[in-house]
Amino acid sequence: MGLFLSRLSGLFEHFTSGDKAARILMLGLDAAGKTTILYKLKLNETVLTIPTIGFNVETVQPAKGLSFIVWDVGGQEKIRRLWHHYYQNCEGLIFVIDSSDIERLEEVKSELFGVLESDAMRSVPFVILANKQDLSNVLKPYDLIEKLELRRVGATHKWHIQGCCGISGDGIYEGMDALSRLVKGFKNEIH
Amino acid sequence: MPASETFTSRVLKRQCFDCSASNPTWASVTYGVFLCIDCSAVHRSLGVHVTFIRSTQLDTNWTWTQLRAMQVGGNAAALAFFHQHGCTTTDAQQKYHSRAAKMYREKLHAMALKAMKQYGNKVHISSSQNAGSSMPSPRSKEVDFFKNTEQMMTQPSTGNRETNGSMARPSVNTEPVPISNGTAKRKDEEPTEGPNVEAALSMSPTQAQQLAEPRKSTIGSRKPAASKKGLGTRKGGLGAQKVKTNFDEIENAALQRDKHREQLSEMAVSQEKQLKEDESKKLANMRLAYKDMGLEEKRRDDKMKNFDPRKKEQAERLGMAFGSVREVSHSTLTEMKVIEQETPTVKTSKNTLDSLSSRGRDFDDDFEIINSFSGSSKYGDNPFGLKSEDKYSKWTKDSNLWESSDKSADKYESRQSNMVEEIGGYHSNDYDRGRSRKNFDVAEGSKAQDKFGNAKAISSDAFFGKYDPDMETKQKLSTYQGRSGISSDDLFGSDRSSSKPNNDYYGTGPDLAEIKEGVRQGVTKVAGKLSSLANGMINSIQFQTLLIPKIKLDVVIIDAYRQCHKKFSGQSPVGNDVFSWIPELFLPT
Repeated sequence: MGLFLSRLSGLFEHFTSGDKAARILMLGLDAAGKTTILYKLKLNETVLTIPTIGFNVETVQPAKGLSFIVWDVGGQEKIRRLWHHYYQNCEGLIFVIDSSDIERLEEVKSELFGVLESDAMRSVPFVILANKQDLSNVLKPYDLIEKLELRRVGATHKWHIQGCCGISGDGIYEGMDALSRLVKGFKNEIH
Repeated sequence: MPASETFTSRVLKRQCFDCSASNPTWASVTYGVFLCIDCSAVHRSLGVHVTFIRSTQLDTNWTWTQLRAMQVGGNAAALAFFHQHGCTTTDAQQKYHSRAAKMYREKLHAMALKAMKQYGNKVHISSSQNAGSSMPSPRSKEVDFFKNTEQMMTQPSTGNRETNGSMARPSVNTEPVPISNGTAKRKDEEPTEGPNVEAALSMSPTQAQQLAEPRKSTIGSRKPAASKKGLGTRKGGLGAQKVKTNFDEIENAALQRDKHREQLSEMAVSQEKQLKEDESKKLANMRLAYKDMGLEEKRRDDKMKNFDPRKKEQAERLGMAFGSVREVSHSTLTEMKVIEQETPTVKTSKNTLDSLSSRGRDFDDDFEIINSFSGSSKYGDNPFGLKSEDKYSKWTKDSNLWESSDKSADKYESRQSNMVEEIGGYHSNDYDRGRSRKNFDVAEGSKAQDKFGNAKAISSDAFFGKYDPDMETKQKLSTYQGRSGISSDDLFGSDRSSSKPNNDYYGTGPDLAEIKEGVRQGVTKVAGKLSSLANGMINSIQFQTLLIPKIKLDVVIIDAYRQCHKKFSGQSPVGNDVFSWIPELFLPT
């Protein structure tokens, strides 16, 4: 009986969330691993991606009853200027960081804050995926909080930072979990 | 603009370094080579520590060092180097993890830095003359490339691919840099804002020269003589030219410079050490001073009491007596306290609960002092406002100390981390704890930092005391229980009314209220939890909190904490949970 009920509720959940998949924007510097993560989520495969010129968009279901439309926009500098076109109606942001790229951390910070401070992204929750944690000598999520001064945005945005490895898929689903929680909260806030 | 066009057109004439596809528009800055988009994908997958990819079209803020790397490098030079070192594999993994790759990487970096140093932002990368002529063989292409650079730079490019293996040497010997400009400063000398390629390229040579004025003297006077003769001609590709410079001399000079650099760095290290020592000494002194001042304060208080009230007021107003002094001493005191909290020395001296509670009593005394002084409303506002704020921060800090001193906190953490492993993310409490520990650092602190440093995920709720619904439902529930068990008004209703006038009096209302609120909630929480565990405990806490005036609340907490510790240290999950709240009471919201 319990099994039946849980299945039923699962089905129900799936049904209800299916028609309103959250619109998620995935941003980050070039070569951070956005496209790799997207296709890891979509296909559960590790693909060798070429630099994204333009964007990729996929509907992914990282967990049962959880559905995101993820927009993965290229991270090259000239494409970054086009990011703001994707802000509209965005319900959650995934910001991917190459944790091994310590030199460009300042750049990461300015881009991240640039996104968060824009009007269309006001109070949109975000998940930072600290990618490439499989490499040695990388910044841990803990360090990133300090380095990126995430405390500054705490009042305006809900956030979650998750270490992950886009190649193996470690941590990605946890990040999506956190994101779905934050997005739910965000939606409730709006309505 | 035309300049940048020629730049790209020159690039486009080339072939991808890895696959020979034409018209590569991507570049590996690390190796100074141009790549097609497919090969850039491979490079990107290797990681930035191996090869850093930028687009010649989509990336605009190339730094000067990066541009220099592309300038002094180039596909042909890299190809030759790889061949020479027997690295002919086409497998990217092998190729770029090979020794040759590493050597070339370092060499190119050194060369780029050197070029940076010598020419600053002066030189243009484009040269229109050769843009139109495409050369088929890599050999001639290479000649072309270096001719270009030479013409542009009026300098010998150091991209020399002689067999001597010691590729670093030429880059050293052409560098007439004064010793004072040792490596330490190199980074600083790079222009901090990334140059805009287009802007930079469209800059006229004279403009650029003006920009690079300070460096000019060294370049103009010394460099060309040595380098033109030696490397410049060699680059032409005619291998057997005789070199006239004395390599021994040059090498010696280089060695000396290296030595000097080492010495400098050593000195820097020792200086740092000394600084640290001084600081710690200072802090120790200050702590002593604080004690003295505390004594003095007491004495002064006594004196003040002896004054008759009118005189006291007068004295204060006139600023001749203790009031003004007090103000000063207060501020210095509070400052000192803050510093004290942050020094590692405090933390290394293991804080037992006893010392903590005595500490709590210490600042109770301070509070009393404040109260006794708040009698005169004239000057009290600011200093006391500040004071109480500081108090608050001190409280929070003390609560942190608690944690770090108490092993049960560790227990809690480990439990938490277990939980987290299940869930896959770190949440508020963990992070806060981790953060506060970071302040304290040293021994224990660093242990904790390791723990949290390795945390896989942390969320924003950490800073604002909100909880993730999933995680914290339990705690919410217990809070609710707490309310039904012991109402906050029951505990503090009378206190609040009595404190009101005080607040108005010296204007620290919000702060005190905040503190109280925090403490109140905390006690409610603690008590609530306890109610579900042991009824007897509740009574004792109720009893205590009701009896003890608000000023001593921290002591209450400490006592409660102690009792909890005693009582529940055996029952691992629940007991630890109780401890976990207590520090939270003191976190600023």
